[in-house]
Amino acid sequence: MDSKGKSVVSLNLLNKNALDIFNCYGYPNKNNEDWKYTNLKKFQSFNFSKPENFVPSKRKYNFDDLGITTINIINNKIMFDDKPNILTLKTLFDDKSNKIYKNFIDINSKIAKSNPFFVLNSANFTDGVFIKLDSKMKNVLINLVGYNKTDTPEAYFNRIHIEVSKNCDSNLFINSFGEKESNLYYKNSAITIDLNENSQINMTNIFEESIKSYSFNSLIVNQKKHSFYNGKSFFLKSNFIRNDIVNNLFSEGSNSNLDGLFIGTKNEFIDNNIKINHNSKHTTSKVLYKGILDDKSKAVFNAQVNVPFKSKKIDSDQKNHNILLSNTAKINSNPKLKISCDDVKCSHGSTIGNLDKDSIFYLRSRGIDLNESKKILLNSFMNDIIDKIDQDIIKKHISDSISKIF
Amino acid sequence: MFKIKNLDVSVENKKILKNFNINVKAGELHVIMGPNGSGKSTLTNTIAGNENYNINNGDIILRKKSLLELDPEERAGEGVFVSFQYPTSLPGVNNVYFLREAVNSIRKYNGLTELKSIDFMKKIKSTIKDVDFDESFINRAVNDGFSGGEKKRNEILQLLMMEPSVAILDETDSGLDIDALRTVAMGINKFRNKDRAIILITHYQRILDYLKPDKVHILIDGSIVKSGNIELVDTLEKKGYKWIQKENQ
Repeated sequence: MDSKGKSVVSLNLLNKNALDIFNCYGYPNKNNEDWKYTNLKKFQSFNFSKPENFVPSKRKYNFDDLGITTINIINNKIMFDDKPNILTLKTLFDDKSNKIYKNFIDINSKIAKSNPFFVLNSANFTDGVFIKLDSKMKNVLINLVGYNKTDTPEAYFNRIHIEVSKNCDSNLFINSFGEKESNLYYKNSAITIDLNENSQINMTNIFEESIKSYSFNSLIVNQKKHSFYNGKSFFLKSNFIRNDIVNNLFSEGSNSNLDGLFIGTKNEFIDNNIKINHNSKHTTSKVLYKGILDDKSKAVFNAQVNVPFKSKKIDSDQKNHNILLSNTAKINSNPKLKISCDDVKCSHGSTIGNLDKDSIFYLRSRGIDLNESKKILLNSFMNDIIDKIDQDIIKKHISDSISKIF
Repeated sequence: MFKIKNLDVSVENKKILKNFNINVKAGELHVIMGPNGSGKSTLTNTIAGNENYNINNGDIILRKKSLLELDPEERAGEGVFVSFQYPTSLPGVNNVYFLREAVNSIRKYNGLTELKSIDFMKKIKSTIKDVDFDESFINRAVNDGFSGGEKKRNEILQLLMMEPSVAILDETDSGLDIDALRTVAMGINKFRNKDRAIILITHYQRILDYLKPDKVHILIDGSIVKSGNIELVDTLEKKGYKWIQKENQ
């Protein structure tokens, strides 16, 4: 059997193994604490199929001007210029004794209950990418594009594994979007990141999916000693978007920072689920998610910090602040701490409110009209997260997208 | 130039201002003094267009135009500036951005083009010196983390930048130390000219050492009960408000 044949066999085995695990659990329902506020009924009513015979063509996308290594994954098809640091998963899985392959097999049973969509991704992806970030290639942009050519509801399964080498300070940009606003698709993206000792990744996720899409995003970040995960997520447009983040702080000195901004209008549903596992002593994490919800949009903020018995000297903070712009918008905010150790510093909090009337009146009394006054206050609410973006192109894109919403 | 005629205002069905009248000509500075709860802040909020204050009767007129039907931003556009007793903090809203929006909104309302960025910056950099702020101030958030004195000086900065026709200054001198009081008074004097009208609401005589009011009014229980010149303030300092209340009985 040639090497290509071998990889197909190993991928098929992985897919089958994952499907068996998924079938044990099935789709989650409201009895599952992690899916309490998530209604999958409508999603399950569609018959999504993987696109066939799709030939992608290279196009110009937002952020091309960043001028960094770019990988385009359009309707399951992966496109990138040959680089020694990027491999397709099919190629990587030539060797079944490969450590990454083993991890891909092992993880499904561990995550199946809380995130069956990750397992569904493992059961369905036909290829993916492995990226090694090191001194030769520190920065990468990945465009995850959904693009139905016909009216058939389509399913896209994106799988990415990233390894950040020791001492490397890297940047990763994930730009997930629908090519056409009205496309009906189901996008299931799963990203795993391994941060080696003393490494750092600054990850910026931008979601601007089509207004009929169902988007499920899983991210697992595993951190070694003194590594730093610095993640920022912007949920700007979607129909239904579910985001699961598991952050494993496995070794001493590992540190993470998760910022998020979600904006919901019309009937959008934005579902954020974050689990931070402080598996080692002297680890720190900070979560700040902000939401603005208008019309009949709904959102969820579920975050849980787990501190097991032996993990002393933990410093953790999680905050969720929300502004509701209409009486019909809704947020379920649940910042949770599960602490089994007493030598820790953990805090959590959440706020839900409307725009401050006194502030609006003060701005109006200075000649600024009602709409502009609201915009100024919304921008001031969002700015501390947007200002954390270092790249002007991305900052401008996000600000422009937001100004189209409000 | 600026007139309030027979104004009755209530808040949550409680009558606060009762048949309130004032007439301030261009170039004049009028002072309103009154005990706590006499309706001074209701007056400023009503003039600014705060919708929580219900006008039951009367009119507010600037240059022969009634302001009653105008939104707060339109009143500002017409040339009304109200300095609040407790200026609102706007965390995350940068001062320079806020002021540029305010100045340009008013210019737009009056059919003028927006001030060029370079001209605006020139103006703000020279004006902040008048209120004793250093340049780092312009990048701070509006009133956020400001001391009481800084907030009041910031109101004066806005006054000088926005150049309205009429300024209603509600206890702009409260809570100020001697230096800040002088700065605020100098700011008001800088603003004052023959085309502009000022109403200063205050509890204290001390700011009047720096300003020369044309008229002094005593506001008690929602109405002006006595008007006079600066000597009225001296009498008030000596005898207190009870003297007027007795005189009116």
